[in-house]
Amino acid sequence: MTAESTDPAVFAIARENRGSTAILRLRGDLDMLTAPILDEALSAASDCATVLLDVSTVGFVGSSGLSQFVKHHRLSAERGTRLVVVTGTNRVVLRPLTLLQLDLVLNLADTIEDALAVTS
Amino acid sequence: MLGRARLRADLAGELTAELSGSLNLRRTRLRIFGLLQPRFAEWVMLALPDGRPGGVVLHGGTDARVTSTATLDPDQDSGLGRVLRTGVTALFRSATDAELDQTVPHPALRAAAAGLFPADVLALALVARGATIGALVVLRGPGRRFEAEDVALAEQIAGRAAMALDSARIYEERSHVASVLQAGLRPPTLPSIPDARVSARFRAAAEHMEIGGDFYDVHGSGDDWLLTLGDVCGKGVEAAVLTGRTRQSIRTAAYFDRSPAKVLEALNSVLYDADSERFVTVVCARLRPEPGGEHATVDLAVAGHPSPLIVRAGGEVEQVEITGMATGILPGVRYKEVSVRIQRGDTLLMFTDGVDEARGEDGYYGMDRLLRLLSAYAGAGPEIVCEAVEQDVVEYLDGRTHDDIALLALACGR
Repeated sequence: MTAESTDPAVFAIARENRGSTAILRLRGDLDMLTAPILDEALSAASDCATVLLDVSTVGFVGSSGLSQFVKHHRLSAERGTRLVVVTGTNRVVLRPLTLLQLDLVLNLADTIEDALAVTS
Repeated sequence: MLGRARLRADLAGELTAELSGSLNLRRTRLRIFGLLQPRFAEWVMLALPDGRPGGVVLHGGTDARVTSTATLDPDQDSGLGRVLRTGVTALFRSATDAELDQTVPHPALRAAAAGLFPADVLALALVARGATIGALVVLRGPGRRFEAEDVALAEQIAGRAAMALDSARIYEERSHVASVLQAGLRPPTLPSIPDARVSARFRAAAEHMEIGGDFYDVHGSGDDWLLTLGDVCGKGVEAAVLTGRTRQSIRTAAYFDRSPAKVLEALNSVLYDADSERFVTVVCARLRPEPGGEHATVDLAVAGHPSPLIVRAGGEVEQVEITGMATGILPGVRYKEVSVRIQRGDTLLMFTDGVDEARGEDGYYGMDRLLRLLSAYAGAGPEIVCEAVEQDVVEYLDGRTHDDIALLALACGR
């Protein structure tokens, strides 16, 4: 493993497929520079019945990132699929979600296991 | 012979270094002159079309700093007009007066050039990204000629100069667009409100040429005012457009109904219809000072924004209990509104999350730190409260990058 790939500031998305469910695990800072990468990954997973977006370990979420949550939540609702944002207890995610009241709009789950239990 | 070869080699070597450094149009022009004059040619002119039919701006000649304009005869199919139209180099060995006339369309520049006669005149097109953006005219006086190698080098120089000039032009155009947009977004001058005081601070994130982000506005008249402070999702031109739309929508909505909840509902509808992803957080306060300024009523509504703080004259600091969804996310959102009363000596502070989310050595600045700080500024008034918060956050950041920081504070009385 190179030093680069363990740097917490480096943004990365790892995708795991479990049947018709895709799990996208995000790492690093989700800001205006990295939000387009998330946009692409979520678009690529649009054929999955359920997408779990694990942001429980990201270091930062800016408004550009949050707007991708909203956009893809809307798109998946239109398609009849489901997007679940997995937050854990990550303050950098929970604080803006509650402040903006996006927690009333998005499907949130504490853990991937919780999210899978609800969707299966 | 060796001297000439050395000169050509030197020039070719300096070209890239000299011309790739600047995105300032004037400086780029001066560097072109500095490179060529007098080593390569005694007399150097740049002719750049200026958008008028046949219009060109002429730079240089004997003196690099001179600028003049001229209009080319559209029917003339020789000299400068032909170079600009065809992009083909024209060399006039021991140029005639007629050839000089056609190549240097300005009497004073022409007279200076004629003073160097007998001379070779070389006119080259400046071609950048497939388009002719102008021409370079160079002149060598008695005893010096443009050899074939000189013409080849001049064409190479013209190519580099064209790219440098075009890049600088594009950059200046973009900067101009950005600065015009920014001028429209600049925080407004605060009005003077009878029986009340208002103060604001805005500190933009340090990123280069970034526009959008936080904004504030104050409008109204007499004893009824609307104060708004907000944060637009994202950065750049799209965010700038959204900021403009938000401010205008608030102003228009307030014209019909100054209730903060109604203003936010109208804004939410406009933004939801106009844009599917971006959102805006806003805090909206309707300020109605009582005559004499002993008290004021403040109605408040928030959309995804931290609620305001009230610093009481006695030192208690309260955060107004009100929440609401950011605008532009869901259609038909209804906003709650609360009414608070402030007395002389109290200060109400609205702020964006650039304050509590500022990241310093020990993590986030945080609300607790803000509350403690404000308690020490009880009775100080809006100007000093804004100043103190800005200073403290900046010290906390200790030079680290930050998001936009905006503050808007109000108090009753003079």
